[in-house]
Amino acid sequence: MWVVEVENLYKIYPGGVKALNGISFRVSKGEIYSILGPNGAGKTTTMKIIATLLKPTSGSASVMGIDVTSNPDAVRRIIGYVPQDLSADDELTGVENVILQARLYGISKGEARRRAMELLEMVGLKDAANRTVRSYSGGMRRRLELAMGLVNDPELLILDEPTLGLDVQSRLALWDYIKRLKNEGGLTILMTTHYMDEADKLSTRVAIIDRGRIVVEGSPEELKSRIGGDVIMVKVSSPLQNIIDKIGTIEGVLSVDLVENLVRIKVESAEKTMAKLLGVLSSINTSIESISIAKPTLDQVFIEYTGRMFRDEEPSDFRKQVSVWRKRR
Amino acid sequence: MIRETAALYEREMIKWFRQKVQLVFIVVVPLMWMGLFGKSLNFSVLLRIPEIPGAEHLRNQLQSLIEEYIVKRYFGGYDYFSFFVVGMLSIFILFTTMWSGMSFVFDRRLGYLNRFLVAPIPRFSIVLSKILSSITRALMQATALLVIALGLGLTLKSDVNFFDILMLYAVIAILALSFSSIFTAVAVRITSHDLVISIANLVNLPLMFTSNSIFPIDQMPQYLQIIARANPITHANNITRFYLLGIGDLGTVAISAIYLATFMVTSIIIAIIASRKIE
Repeated sequence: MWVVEVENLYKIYPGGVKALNGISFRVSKGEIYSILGPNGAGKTTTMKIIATLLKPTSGSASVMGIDVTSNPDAVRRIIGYVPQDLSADDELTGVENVILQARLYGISKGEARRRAMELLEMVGLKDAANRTVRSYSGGMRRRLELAMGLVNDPELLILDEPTLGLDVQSRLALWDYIKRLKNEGGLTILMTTHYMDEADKLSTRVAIIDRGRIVVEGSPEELKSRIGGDVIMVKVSSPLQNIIDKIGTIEGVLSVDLVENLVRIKVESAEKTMAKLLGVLSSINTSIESISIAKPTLDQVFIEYTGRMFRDEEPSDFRKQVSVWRKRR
Repeated sequence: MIRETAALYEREMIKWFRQKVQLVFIVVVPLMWMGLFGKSLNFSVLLRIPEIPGAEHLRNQLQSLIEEYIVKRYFGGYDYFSFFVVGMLSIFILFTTMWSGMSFVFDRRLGYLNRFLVAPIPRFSIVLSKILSSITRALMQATALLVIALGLGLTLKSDVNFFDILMLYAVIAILALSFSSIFTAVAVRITSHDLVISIANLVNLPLMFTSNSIFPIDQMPQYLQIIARANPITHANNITRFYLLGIGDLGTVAISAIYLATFMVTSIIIAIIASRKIE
């Protein structure tokens, strides 16, 4: 049985913003499945639908075979959800937050306290358990959120941008906790991220999402190998078609295309082709502004499949723009 | 349902008691209203005819007529302060409970609400916990007001007993339950706290002045009387003034009790319907 099964999910918000444009994917037990994409791509919308917070416009989603729209309470019982926005009450202490969350799953007060201390110890917050959350650092808060998502011993843990806004050390620490949950607890984790390296390091499988659609899916290794070589990015003052054609004839070049104002050259081996490439470029009499070599990364996968650089953007939806203008008036 | 509501209610109470300054306000606010406002509005003194040399007999006759037909009937005696204080009990219930929607709006804004919504709990338990905490605060506020007013010279009827006090608390609890239900229900779909403030400002003074809390309603123009008689605060005051001060009669109390009970049931139904609209 699939832990998560999503079929052809559409979500159109009131006002006409199309957040999801037919998303389908499946997650099996014990996986860490990452949905990777820029802000505004539809990641949080997908998570909210699976977490029963939002109803899809059409399509279906189920957790352990239970449909999220027809039987939300049964789904709620078996999932843990860690939202993107911090959700722990900062006027309560860490342990009070976890106890409250546990009691919402029908766990008795005494049992809730025992479980809360256990979870706080697991995420390294035992010493801070009786401090109000207000005094927690960003990393501590994220770890508390993680503990709160685990109170009901869920079948599926949903993490929406778990390391958003954290510094490098805190992110690495959180990655360790997430990995341990999978390796030691056998937990299935569905997460979103817009950090390429996060998806790469943590996931068993990644779905790259752009403008409400999954553009490609696979294990990080699989996706990177699909590029089939290294990538050289060259910024020239005037990227003309004849330059692109010339580069294409160089031995070892697999493909050349224009991504925004960068010439993206896929090669079998960057080291071998670089010398020839520089020769050709200098013979064309064009000035090179910059040149960079990229080994296959998920960044490159994103560019490969969307034809755009990976950066945060809102979906370019005319009607949404109009409503923004109206509001400003 | 009970377990989840208890857990959520406990959270509200922990948060409230953790803000020590709230406990100061619960004393200071009634002190201001009773000590400054209550003591300056001494209307019943205006109904005393001064000594008129050479016409003592006429003066005393007139005064006894005024006493029988105006003072006793409307104020229960020359003690306007006590009349005012008991009226203010209901008003303070309103003042406390009209903010009950605020915590809901903040729970939404700060993301706590999502935590509750992904838990397998009835939506109404979230609303109910807000209502219960609001009632608790209102009853504490009313008790503080009562104690302060007693210190400032509130005089209850001479034969006041335990049952009378019980009736007082029953009435203000019903009023608090009704108002909290309505104000929480209203906030369920609101996302901006400014709107909650606007709503509270819109209703607080009109509800006070269109009730019998400060003035008896008989002297009001007809249209205002209709509004005043529809105002649940008027009916709460009818009952509390009967049991604490001995003003009015059992017939009026019975009608007011039925009115309040209906108001309460309607409010709870509104809250239940609203809780289904949480998302």
